[in-house]
Amino acid sequence: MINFKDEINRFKPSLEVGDIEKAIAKSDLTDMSDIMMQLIKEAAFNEGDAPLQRTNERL
Amino acid sequence: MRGMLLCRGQMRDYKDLLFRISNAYYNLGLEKAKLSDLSGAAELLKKSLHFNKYQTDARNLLGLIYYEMGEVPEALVQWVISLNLDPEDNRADHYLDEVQRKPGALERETAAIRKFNQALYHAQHGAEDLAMIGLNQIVREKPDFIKARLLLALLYLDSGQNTKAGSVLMRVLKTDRNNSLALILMDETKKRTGKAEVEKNRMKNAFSHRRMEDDDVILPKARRQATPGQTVMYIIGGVALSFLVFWLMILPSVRRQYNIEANERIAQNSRELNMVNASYEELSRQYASVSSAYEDAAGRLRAFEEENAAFTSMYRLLVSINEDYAAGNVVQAAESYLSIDRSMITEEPLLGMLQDVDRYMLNEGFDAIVSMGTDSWNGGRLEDAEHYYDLALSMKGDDPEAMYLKARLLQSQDRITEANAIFDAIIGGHPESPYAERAMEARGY
Repeated sequence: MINFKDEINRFKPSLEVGDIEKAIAKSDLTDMSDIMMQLIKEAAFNEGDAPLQRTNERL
Repeated sequence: MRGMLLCRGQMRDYKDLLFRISNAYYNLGLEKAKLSDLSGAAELLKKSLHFNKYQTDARNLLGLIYYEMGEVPEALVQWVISLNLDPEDNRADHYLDEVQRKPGALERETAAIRKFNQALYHAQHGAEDLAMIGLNQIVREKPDFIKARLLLALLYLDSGQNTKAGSVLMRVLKTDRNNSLALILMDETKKRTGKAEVEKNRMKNAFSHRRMEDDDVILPKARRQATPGQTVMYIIGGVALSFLVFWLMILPSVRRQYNIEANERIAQNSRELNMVNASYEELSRQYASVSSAYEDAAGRLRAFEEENAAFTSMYRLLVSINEDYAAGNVVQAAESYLSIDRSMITEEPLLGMLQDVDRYMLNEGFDAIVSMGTDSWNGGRLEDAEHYYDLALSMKGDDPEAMYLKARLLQSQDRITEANAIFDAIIGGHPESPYAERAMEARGY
């Protein structure tokens, strides 16, 4: 049984011509390549920035 | 971490795989678009762009689909983004020119969309009649505005105007044959109008037939002569009948053959899509596994850094106390000494360093600060004197000499109550100390 009220409430307003610029600026253009590159960069950064080494020698 | 860096070598392979997946989704989307399945095509094209945002053809086609569905601003967004990502020799430039070239086109789009948004507002806030009036106007001016038609069909069905709903939905399905909402609403419309039953019966009858028995006799019809007029009529009728036969019998089979081929292509594409989906799922699993390993390594690294941070800060503090004391900045050394968090010093070599610091700060350092207090008192700088005595007592709170000196200082400033409290503490806490007797004298006992 279709619930017409729910179906009508699911509709969202259409993008207006005046809001095109905002929509373009807000567009999320991240794709799978970007995600993988970010992952690799973070891994490389963390590997390069080694923490202070603790030793058991008297300093 | 080293494992992640080695993946760089495989990055090119992964990128190639991503591009292939993207192209596969684009091809599937293109096939769907050719078969007027616009909703299905849009979903596939969005997936294509998810794998490769530079898939210009997919983005341009997505824009065309939006345009075809009446969502012109959405189409413009896609084409502008497409031009930005791929400025050279891009078809999107032509599409944008076409839209802007038509005089008043953008203004009409603006007006139609504003009216739709207004009608939607009315529909969602109880003013269904106003919404239907607005939507009727819109679909007259923009017959392919699918969203407006769907909303209108919903409102018609809700108000029981089933035939009108059916007519509106037919037009939607003509443009977007697999629009899921339209199909659901059309199903509902047919149930309400009884058309579903009629169609079911038609299907049954199309496949029923009577078998001839062996003893059936076919009687030939009697022949009679036709007049010339009748002959001409018969010829014309025959030609008309031939066209009718062609239309009714030959053309459907041609169409059926075309549909069979189209369906075979769809089946083939579906098989390819399944393979692509399997690759996508495999890639997603690998990504999840890599992501999880990365998070685990990052967590261990953070924990290691936190432990080292505590050690490093305490080490630096102890070194600074040592340096300040050696340079004669006893007060600075004392203040730093009071800020040591002993709970963070649990292992060597810090424990050894702390012991050294305790030894000279609680002896020579303490004595130096008490002397500074007394010198300040003698020089008339009473506030400084009290500050130094307090600092010394913070380091060693139960030293009777420092307590006695502070109490005498307070007494000299007529702060008798505070002074007496300290005298009493010396008398009670250090009865064998020479300062106990002095405290009793000063107290007046």
